[in-house]
Amino acid sequence: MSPANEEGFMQIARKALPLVFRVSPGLFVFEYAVTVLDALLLVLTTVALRGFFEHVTGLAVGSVSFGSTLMSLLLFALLKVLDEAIDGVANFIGEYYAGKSNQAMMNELNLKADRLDVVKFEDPEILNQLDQAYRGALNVRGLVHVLMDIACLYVPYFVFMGLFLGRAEPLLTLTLLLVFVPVLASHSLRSRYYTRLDDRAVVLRRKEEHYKDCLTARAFFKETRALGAGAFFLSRYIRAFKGVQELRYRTELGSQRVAIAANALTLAGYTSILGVLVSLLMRGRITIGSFSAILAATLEMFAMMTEVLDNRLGELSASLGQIRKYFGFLDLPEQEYGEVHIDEQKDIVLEEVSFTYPGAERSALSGISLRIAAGETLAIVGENGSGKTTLARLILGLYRPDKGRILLGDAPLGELASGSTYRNASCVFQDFQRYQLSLRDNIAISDFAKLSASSDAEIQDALAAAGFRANAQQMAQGLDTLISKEFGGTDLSRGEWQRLSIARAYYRSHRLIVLDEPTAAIDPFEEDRIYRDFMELKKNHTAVVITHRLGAVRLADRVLVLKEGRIVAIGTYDRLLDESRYYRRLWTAQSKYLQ
Amino acid sequence: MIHLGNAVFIKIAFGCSALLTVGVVALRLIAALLPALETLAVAGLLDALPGVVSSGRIAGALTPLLAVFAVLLCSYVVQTLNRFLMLRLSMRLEDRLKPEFVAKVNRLAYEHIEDDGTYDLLERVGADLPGTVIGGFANLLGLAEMSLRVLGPVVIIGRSSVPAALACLLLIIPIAVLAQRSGAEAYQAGAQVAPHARKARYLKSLMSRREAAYERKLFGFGAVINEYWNNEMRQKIALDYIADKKIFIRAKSISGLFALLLSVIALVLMLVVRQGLMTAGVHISLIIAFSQLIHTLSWKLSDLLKEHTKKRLWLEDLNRFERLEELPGSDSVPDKRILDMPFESLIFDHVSFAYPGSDIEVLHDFCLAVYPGKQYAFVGQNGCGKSTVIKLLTGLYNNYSGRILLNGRDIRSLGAAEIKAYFAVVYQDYGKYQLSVREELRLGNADLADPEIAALLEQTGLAQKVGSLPLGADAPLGKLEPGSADLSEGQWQRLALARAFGRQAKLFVLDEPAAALDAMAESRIYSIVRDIGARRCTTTLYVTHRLAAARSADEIIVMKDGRIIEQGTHAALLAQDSCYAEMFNTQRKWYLRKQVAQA
Repeated sequence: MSPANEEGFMQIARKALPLVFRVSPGLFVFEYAVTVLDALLLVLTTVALRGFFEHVTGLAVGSVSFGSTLMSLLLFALLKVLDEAIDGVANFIGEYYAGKSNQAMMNELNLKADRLDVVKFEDPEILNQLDQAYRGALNVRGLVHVLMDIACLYVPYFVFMGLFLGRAEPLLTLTLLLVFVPVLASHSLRSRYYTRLDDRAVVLRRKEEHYKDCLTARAFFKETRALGAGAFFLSRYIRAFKGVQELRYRTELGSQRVAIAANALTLAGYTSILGVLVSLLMRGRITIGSFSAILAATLEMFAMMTEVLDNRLGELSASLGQIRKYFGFLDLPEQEYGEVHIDEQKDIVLEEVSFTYPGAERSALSGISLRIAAGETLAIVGENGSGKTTLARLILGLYRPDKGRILLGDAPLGELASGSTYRNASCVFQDFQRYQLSLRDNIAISDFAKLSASSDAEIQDALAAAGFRANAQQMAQGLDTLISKEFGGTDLSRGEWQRLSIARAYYRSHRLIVLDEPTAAIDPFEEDRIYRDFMELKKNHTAVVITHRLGAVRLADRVLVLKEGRIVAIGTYDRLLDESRYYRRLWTAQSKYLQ
Repeated sequence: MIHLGNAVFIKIAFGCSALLTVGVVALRLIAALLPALETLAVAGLLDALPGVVSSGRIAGALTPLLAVFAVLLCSYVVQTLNRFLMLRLSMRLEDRLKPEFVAKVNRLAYEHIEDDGTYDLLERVGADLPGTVIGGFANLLGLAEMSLRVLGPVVIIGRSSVPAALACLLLIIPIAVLAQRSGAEAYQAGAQVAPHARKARYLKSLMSRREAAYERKLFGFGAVINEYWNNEMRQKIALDYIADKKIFIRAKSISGLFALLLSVIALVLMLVVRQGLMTAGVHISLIIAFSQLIHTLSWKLSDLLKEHTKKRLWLEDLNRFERLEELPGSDSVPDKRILDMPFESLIFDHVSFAYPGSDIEVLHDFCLAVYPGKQYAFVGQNGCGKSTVIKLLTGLYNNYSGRILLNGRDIRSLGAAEIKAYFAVVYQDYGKYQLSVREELRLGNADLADPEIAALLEQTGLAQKVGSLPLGADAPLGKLEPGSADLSEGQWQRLALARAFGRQAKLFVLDEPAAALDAMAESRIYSIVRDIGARRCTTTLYVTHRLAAARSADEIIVMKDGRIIEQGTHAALLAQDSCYAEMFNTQRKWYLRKQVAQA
């Protein structure tokens, strides 16, 4: 988000308030009603304390009795205990409410991420924003809470203090302003320092993260060790985080300078209150007891100001950037999609379809025209980066074409609902997920609606069809067995996970199924089995198979050859071998060693 | 209320900067004493006031007024200095702890990296190590300051009446016991919440991670998984609720008790004042002090206690992390002197191995001899143990039985630095280091000269691509900086090969180098390896599923269930009715023309 259209503090607060309020309106009202009560008690204790001090000073000169002094003490103590109890209730509810609203804020974010076009997840900026938004989600309630406390606790309290002081001397009310205007002003200044820091440190932070990964993340660990490159990355890592540190240090220094200036003003305010009080006393306008009480109240006010308002606003300034990211993410545009049902009679037609990834210079696919007949098996082959997976994602309705259109039967999808998510489509993904859930959920996750409508039998069928055969000992609790070492369950071998992913795809009701070749290494037997099983499973459904293994495509009705995002050939396996020079080259590159 | 184990935070801070740590502690000590000084200054002022009122001259109150001002000024100065010193200290902690953590992880025995539980531990400990330490340190300081602040007024009372002060102390004891208990309870509750929090974190990742996005969208599981997440969160919140209730009741009982205590003290002091042992000014200012103290106590105590517990739980993680075993020499730079030693033989002598924590042997009695100048291919099904051979050879695991002999010497007796120089390894999941091309090739090989870099790029077919970049070999790769260039899978893989070939190692080890590559790219890799291998007479060990790579090897080693079941040349193995022949034919039949396949 550019600074130009960055939302102000109050705009964010206006969005945050209803969100937090809706979490539990009753409790919200109760919490702040208690807070108002807290403010009231705070005020009453100040009054009672004043009464007590009048008595104590009176007692010293013998103008009041011990008994009435005791009464005034008891009144003060009672109010103080009551205030503590009320304060405790308010805090406790607050803590509970914080937990609940953090959940609610994250829930919004989860659902937003779920609704978002899946192609957005290819954009590192969006991922980065989501990451910060999650951190911001934990601070939304904090923002509202501080504002509500200001409205329900501090403002009533300070207004009363203004009156309390003003009754003794109107001038004192004015000096009160000196106490908190500087604090508020300094915070708005300081939050600007932090936002600037976040923007400037972003590249350095990314570097720091990457060099740390080079030393510690699984993806790099073995190789970094084998290369003996540890020391190199360590020095890079240090340089990067020192850079971030330097920026942060300068920011803090700047921010501290503002704070010091604000403190000086506050101190001046305090001194003038003291001066006014002494002069009032000397002119006989107040008693020593009142002097003590006003002094006590002022000291308490200062403690409240520095410890509570200062710290809490300080935290808020530091997290405002993240909260902004939170609302920014929730406001990302999303598309409304209708549901499209693929049925056996309808062909899938692509007309002049082009697609470019966000932020990419070159288009991943261009000018793709293609008709996949209902029930047909189409194989897509091509080199790395030729656009195979992208094409499959378009066919599955996961991406929307930039240009051209996709039709189902003769109905143009673009007019129905552009790039709808299909109901009856399934897929074995290239990097299939290993869900740390129960065996049942690992399968049913592809079609939870089906799970509630049918028994476990279909899950068992899917597992059997995919050849999943983990031993009974390992799967002691049957479908309820948790497949996750981390959460105290069992783990599977790579091969069994692969079978699970096929069972998962098969479980989902489908008329169209896609098999995207697994990226990781699998042995020839396994590979052979996967393709054969898949062909067996797909039966009379429309199927798309993506593969590097050009031998495997002979099982398909037709083969589509992609090169740099364009179709270079399409036809049956044998015809392509005879007619497409490019295909023959690809084929020979693999088969020459196997002849 | 203080768990002694948390004192480790002070030790760590002290270890990073003794001066700053002492400075911060001293400042906090002063900060803790200031309220007592304020009480005395205010008492002085109040006691001077009757004189001022009766005489009508302010002179008598000037000194106490100045004292009050000075105390306040002091508290601001101390606060500001404290923030500054804490900032400096946190920088020192970063300087020390960040590299130490990363370096320690980098030196860990490899089994820890492969273990999910440990990997998760590394995340928890490493997420913000310096920040957590400084937080733990500040938490202790906060608790200490709180205790001192309670004691301050008691000392002031003691100046007037020792029995009254002792009575106060007696009243404080139950409060301390209560606080101690609530700390222990918070700890128990925290330990209960942790598993739900972890589970929730995992489920959240299914909703938000890129890797899970495609399945989530197509399968439409978002709503259900989100409900699972909400469920875990609800359980977590319910447990938090119970724990918080206890903590708040305790903390508020403490401040409530303190309020009662205050009235008793005020009453006692009234008697003391009546006896003329204490001035009214001291009395009033003490009550002001106690009244403030109650407010601070009620605000801060429960926060401090909760934080204390969190830090204590975290320290357990830190402890576990510190106990993780390291592999000596694993962070060394390759020692090239060993390259003067010509390669004669590499012998696996009855090697058996099971992964730590597992009973299943992945290698049984594995015996093999490797001789110079030849190419060896390890083939076999998933889980047959071929990749494990590489892990043992490169020293990632050492706890095997039997021996691996390099020129007759047990490789475990060689230094890690020597092994790194002698073997060059390219992995299937090669790291995409986001550096410039030149830096990539110089990793672990800092003195690689520019002409050699140019030659390597030429040999691996990258010269044209690199030449097309505006900054050539100095162009940053990846996505870290604006203007970085990205490579295709195949190009990254060739860069990893070029890096390995630049190292003049005696043995090349390639672990599934073409797994993620298409046919053309794969074929290119093999011919590059063959060309360079032939030119330099190096010995190559391949681990592969692609029989295309195996075919061109001089010796094929077929493994099954941790043993060698067949060994020989491609032709010899095909001639037998071997397992290799079956694998080869499985792959080959896909490539036969239709007529043959149908036959």
